[in-house]
Amino acid sequence: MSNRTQCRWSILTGVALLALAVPALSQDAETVPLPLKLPRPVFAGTPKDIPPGTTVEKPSGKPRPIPQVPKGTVNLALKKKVTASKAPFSGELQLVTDGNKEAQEGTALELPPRLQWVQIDLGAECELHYIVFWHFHMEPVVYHDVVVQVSSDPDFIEGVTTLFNNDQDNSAGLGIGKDREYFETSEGKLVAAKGIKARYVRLYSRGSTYNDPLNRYTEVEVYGLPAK
Amino acid sequence: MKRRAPTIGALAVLCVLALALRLPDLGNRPFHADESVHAVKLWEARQRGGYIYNPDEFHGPTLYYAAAPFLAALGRKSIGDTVEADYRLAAVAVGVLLVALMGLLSDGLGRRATLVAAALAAVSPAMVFYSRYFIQEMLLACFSVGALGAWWRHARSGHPGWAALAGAFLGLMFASKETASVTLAAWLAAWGVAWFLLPRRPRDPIRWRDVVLAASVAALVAAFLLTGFGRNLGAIPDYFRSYAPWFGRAHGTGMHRHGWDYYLRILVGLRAGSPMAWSEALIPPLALAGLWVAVGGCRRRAEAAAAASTSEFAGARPVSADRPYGGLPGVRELHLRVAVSALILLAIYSVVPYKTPWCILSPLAGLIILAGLGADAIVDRAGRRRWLAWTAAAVLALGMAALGRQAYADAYRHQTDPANPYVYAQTVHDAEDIQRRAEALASVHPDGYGMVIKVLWTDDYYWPIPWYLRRFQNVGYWTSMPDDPDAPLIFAEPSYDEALTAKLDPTHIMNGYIGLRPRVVTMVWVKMDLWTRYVERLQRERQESGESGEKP
Repeated sequence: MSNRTQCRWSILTGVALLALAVPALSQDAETVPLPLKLPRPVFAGTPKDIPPGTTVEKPSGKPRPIPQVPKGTVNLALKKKVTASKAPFSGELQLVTDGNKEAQEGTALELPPRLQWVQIDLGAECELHYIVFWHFHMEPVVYHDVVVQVSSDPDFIEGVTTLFNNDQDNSAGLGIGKDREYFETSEGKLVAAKGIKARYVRLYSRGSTYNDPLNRYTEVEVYGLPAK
Repeated sequence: MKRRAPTIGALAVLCVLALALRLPDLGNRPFHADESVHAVKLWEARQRGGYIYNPDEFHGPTLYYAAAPFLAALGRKSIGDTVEADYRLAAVAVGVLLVALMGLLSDGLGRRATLVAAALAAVSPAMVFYSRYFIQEMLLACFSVGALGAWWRHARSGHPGWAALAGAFLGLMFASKETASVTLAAWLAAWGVAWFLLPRRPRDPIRWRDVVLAASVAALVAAFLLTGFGRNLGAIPDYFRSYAPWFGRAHGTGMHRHGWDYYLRILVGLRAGSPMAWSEALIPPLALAGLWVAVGGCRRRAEAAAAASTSEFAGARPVSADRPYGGLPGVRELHLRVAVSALILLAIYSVVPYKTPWCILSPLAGLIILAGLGADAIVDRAGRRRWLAWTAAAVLALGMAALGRQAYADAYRHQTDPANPYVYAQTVHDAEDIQRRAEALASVHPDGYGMVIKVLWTDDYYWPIPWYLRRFQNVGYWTSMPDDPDAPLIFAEPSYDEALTAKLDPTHIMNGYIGLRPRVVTMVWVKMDLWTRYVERLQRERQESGESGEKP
């Protein structure tokens, strides 16, 4: 085989390999809508009056757009282990990841007043894309000092990334947050994780505009790609 | 003098009672937007060196002049030194003066009727509540009682001094509020009614000389005050022009538009869906009894009672039921004119769709006088049987005690409660946070009180924000979105949220909503570096005070 023929074969082989590789690469980058199933709403709309003392953002009045996520994204938090800053006031920690996010009696974990957190161990470091959480959506209440952090350190000392923080006066000691407060609805709060890798997810809160100072967590879902 | 002393003494006691109900804890309610407007306008006039009448808004200047001696006595040099209670002292004084001025009618109504009227004025919840309110309405009601009383004294004595005093009160009414014309119209209509209804018209001539004197004094007093002691003569045509916008508003829009029975419901306590038990209902039935007296049911008895208490005041001459005094109104005319004018005034205010609860004061003052007359007639009739008279007096005393109790609850326990019918578009306590937050941020800003603050609203109704920013030197107000909204601190109407987020999100933090009135809030935007400095100081203070944050 002449050099010239060898060269032609090399080019053809390269083109063929490239032709095979492109679909494979595009398959890796394929996105799908976030596989999020919303609970049934128990009230219509949001309050006409803005609660003073909050920074609550004005609801758009339209359904939230569904973001795209890499194919294979699942709720990594489902049935995963949950810990908390304090023993529950009522309910069990596992309510946070039991998959039941309906606004019904007995579906929410209740933690004591003041600043508290729940933490979910995903079992392994994973690529995270979105975190969705519902504190309490039986009424359009507003939770205060909501902070969402991820880390691969269970104590949240090393490698902590804050994804959402509306604690404006840094009373939680986690930094000044510029995010706005929001009304609790059946849509939950969607926070982008932007593909960050972490094993633990921690959510802080400090009571709400509800008629008691408790911290409630109905469900937390962490969408990402499972660890390989 | 001996016969006058008990009446004067009783009136003095009632004035002390009125003062006791009005004076304490004057700062227990945040400034209503209208009160804040007047406080700010008062100091603007002072800084400008004189008052300038505005035909579109804010009414006349008597409120400012009434407050001036109190501010001077308290040593207030600028608006920044003042608090709400400083201004309300003027309203308290005028509210007590109204009670005292009832004495001018003593020999026209009868001693007992006068004292009952004064007592009702002292304890009426509306009178108490708005005697703690820095707006013109109590002045208007007080001056109208003064004008009525002085004119009655003129009718009794024929002395032109009383006519001049009545004119002065009338001038003060017009210099207080444009709706003085409604009261005057009601009086003239009542005069006309009495003219036609009562006999011996030809023997009841009008002393035109004294009418001209009173009208001249009224015009002079009103003009002198409205023009800022003669400095701004344009106020006189402006005052007449002012009726155009006020007539426009009379149709009522939005929250100020109410049904014809709005004031009646307030008076008798019929307020559908209100969680608060409420009534000022002692006054209307007594006023009805007074109307009966005035129209003639108890005419002779009432006039005899009035005749018995004649000569209580200097210059008074005896009056009889059948002899109009000196060609001027007699007792019967007074009763009828008070009754008819009160009803006409109530009817006019009820027919006009624009209604605010404080507008009840002028008709209420007339109804209270009428109620005094009614109460007197009831006790007098019951007097045929001693036990019945005592029962009537006891029921009256209990009713007054209930009114006083209601007035206390209204002014000291439910002073910002929307269930209270006199609480209207009331500024909420949360609004005081505007001042607290601005001053806290100024404390870490290099310019301190010179820090630039922008207030962005969609119209001119951003009050009472200027009151809470009264200590700041660089505050600007916009009624549309400025090209450059950037400032260290911005207060904005929530409708600007999207626009401000687009312009300020990279450099500012939306620091929350502060309530102004029910369903009205302001957004607060703070420059991030200023907010960071403030939070750092907060943290230092927390550490110094031993708080380690709240990390769980």
